[in-house]
Amino acid sequence: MSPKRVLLHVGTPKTGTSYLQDVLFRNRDRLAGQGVLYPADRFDDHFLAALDLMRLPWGGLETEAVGAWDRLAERVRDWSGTAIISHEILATASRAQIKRALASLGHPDTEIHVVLSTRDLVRQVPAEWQENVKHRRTIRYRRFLQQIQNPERVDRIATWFWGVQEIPDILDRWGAALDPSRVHVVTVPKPGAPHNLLWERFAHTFGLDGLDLDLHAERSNPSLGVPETALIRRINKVANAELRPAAYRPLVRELLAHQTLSRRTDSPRLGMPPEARQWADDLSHAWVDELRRRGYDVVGDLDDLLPDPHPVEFRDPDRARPRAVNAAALDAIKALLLEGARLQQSEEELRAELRETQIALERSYMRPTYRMREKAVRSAQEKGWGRRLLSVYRRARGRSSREA
Amino acid sequence: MVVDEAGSARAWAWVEHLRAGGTTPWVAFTGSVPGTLSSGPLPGAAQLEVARRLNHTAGAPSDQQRRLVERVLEQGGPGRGQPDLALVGVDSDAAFGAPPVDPAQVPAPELLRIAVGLLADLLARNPAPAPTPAPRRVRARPWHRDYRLAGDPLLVEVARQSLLRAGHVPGLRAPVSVVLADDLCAMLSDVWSWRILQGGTVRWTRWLADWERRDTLPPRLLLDRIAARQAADTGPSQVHVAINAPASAVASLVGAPERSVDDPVRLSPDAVELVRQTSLVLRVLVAKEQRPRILGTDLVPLLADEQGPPRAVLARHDDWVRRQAAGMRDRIGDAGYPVCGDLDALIPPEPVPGTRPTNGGVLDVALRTLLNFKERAL
Repeated sequence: MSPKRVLLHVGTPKTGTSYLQDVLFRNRDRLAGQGVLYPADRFDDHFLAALDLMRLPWGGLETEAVGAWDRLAERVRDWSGTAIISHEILATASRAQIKRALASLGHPDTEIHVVLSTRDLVRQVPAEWQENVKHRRTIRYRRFLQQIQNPERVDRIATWFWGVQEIPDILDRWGAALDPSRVHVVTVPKPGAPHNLLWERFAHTFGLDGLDLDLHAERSNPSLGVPETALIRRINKVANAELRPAAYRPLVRELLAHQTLSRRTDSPRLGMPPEARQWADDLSHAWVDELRRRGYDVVGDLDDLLPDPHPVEFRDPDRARPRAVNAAALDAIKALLLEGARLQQSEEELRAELRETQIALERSYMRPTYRMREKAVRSAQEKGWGRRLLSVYRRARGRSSREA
Repeated sequence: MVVDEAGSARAWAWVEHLRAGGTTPWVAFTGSVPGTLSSGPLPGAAQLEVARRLNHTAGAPSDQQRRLVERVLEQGGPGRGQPDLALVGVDSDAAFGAPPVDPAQVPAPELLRIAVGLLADLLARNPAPAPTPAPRRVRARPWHRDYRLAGDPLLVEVARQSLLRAGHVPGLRAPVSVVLADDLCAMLSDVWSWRILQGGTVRWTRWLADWERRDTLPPRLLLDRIAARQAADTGPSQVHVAINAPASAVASLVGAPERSVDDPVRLSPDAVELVRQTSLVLRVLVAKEQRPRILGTDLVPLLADEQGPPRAVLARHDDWVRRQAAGMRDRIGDAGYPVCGDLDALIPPEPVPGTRPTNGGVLDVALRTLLNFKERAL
């Protein structure tokens, strides 16, 4: 194995990626000291690089992504040891974008590994619908299921879903130019497995075993229950037209969904309706058979990708219980009130600062010569000849300034 | 993976056919490449169809055309959309991924996504050559009237630029203000288009709905307030409201020879929509401050032949637009400014003029624009 290698983690969403990226980001200095580069100056650097690589608009954030992939790739090329890149939306990259990405990282001269973390479809489908809702969508769950089950895959939602979730196709695209031994499939353990098992699988895959790392998570992408997701969807319906993406992100996605409603862990969880189970079962078995045949390096167990044969009772988020939605809405109102009060306090402090600044400014304008000039201009503006004179003066002054 | 060798050989032959400027659709193509198959995956069906349509529009093959087709075939689509679609009749291993398609059946929005992605890429990576030294600034003639132009930004810009080209810069005599206007639907279209040409990306429908929700017009179209501000500076008798006025009348108002002002020309709604979609991709390709230059200097000149009527205002906004136009007419009339034209012309005629862009129409403009770009930089 060459000393230099690149580990490219390309998905999939909702497989513990936010936690992994948080650990890597917060420990980046420690990692660098141990020969592992996680090239990021801000938490979302790899997200921005992915937006840049895929020319992907993202509610205005894409404007911060100009040139981000090339900068990231340059840092990786300049590093002599192991480098890790991780973002789950890379799963949907096209072949041309993947070719560009691999070339920019030094392929074929550099040893590149592709890592795909995966979870069973019965958990991924509702999780993807929830992500859609947290990104302003208003589509009902049943309609979402219909769209993704349509074999033509013509809708935007279906295109995105399969782009980031169809494991064999993602690995076809990302792994086409690599030896199967350099393609790693990490499976998310089944529910009830030890809490740290997924991290152990990540650590093994990324060569982090035995490194001294702080594993305390500050960021994650927590899940919502049935009434909470139903509530956010309804908020989207009434607020989307007037709430800009730049305001939606901190207020709805972060404050309401992540910081408030995700704490309601007693609510029923999202699942698959019984009539879609068989479809998901069949697809999962086909995927697992295909992955076994391809001979990738599997970290965990491909059986983790087969749906749990004893699912929990399905609760329909399109018909969430009004009492449960109301209770979630009260928590949301309380959170917004507290945030409003905090912003009000902040505004009062800023107003006080502004007043002090204005007083200081007025003091500096109290000189007699300034007041005389101001009076003359005001007087001239009231008369036609005065306005023309001022116009001539301003033009002459403008020309003088430019020539100077 | 099971590979249909005959289908693959036919597909690679079709790729070569397109590289050489061919225009035969995939289903009618019967050629084949002898010997071993080309390595690597085939370009996506959308890319291949865009290449075919470019050849069809271009006519005669050339080296530049070949380079353009090559760029198309290497192009990944920007943003959200279909993945690289496989060709129907090539691979029999279709257990995963989107179903294979006949390229001629790829929906126009997908073809447009590929074309717009390439156009944005070419514009970002091939900036127009630096302009020749600016012509010497024409000096103000003191005996010319000072003039101010305000109102519909498209009309203002055309008038201002043509007056400057004619050497008629504002002089030092008492100023006159001309507020240029058209019917309100056309002016709304002009303001939105103007914003798009400056690098904006907001959709027409959303933009219009926002203004209706606020129940006000964009600041550039608050013509009575603009006129009042001008009147404070020049006096009310020197503020002229020119509604749908001939260019010669506008020239007369500012004291310029009649032919000093050009007639306004509008980009077609299809062309403006292409600019908007290109801007969306440019947002992730170049810094914000570069975008207006790329659009104004590099893209818009390529669209010189893409003229058309204003964008149509949707019927659901009709009542609101008419109410706003009537209010504006009444306030301007009450203020007593001299009017060139008919104040009632502020109210849109029935039926509301203008057209809407279509995916097919925008795609056609995109293909012609790529061919124009090819002449300049490939």
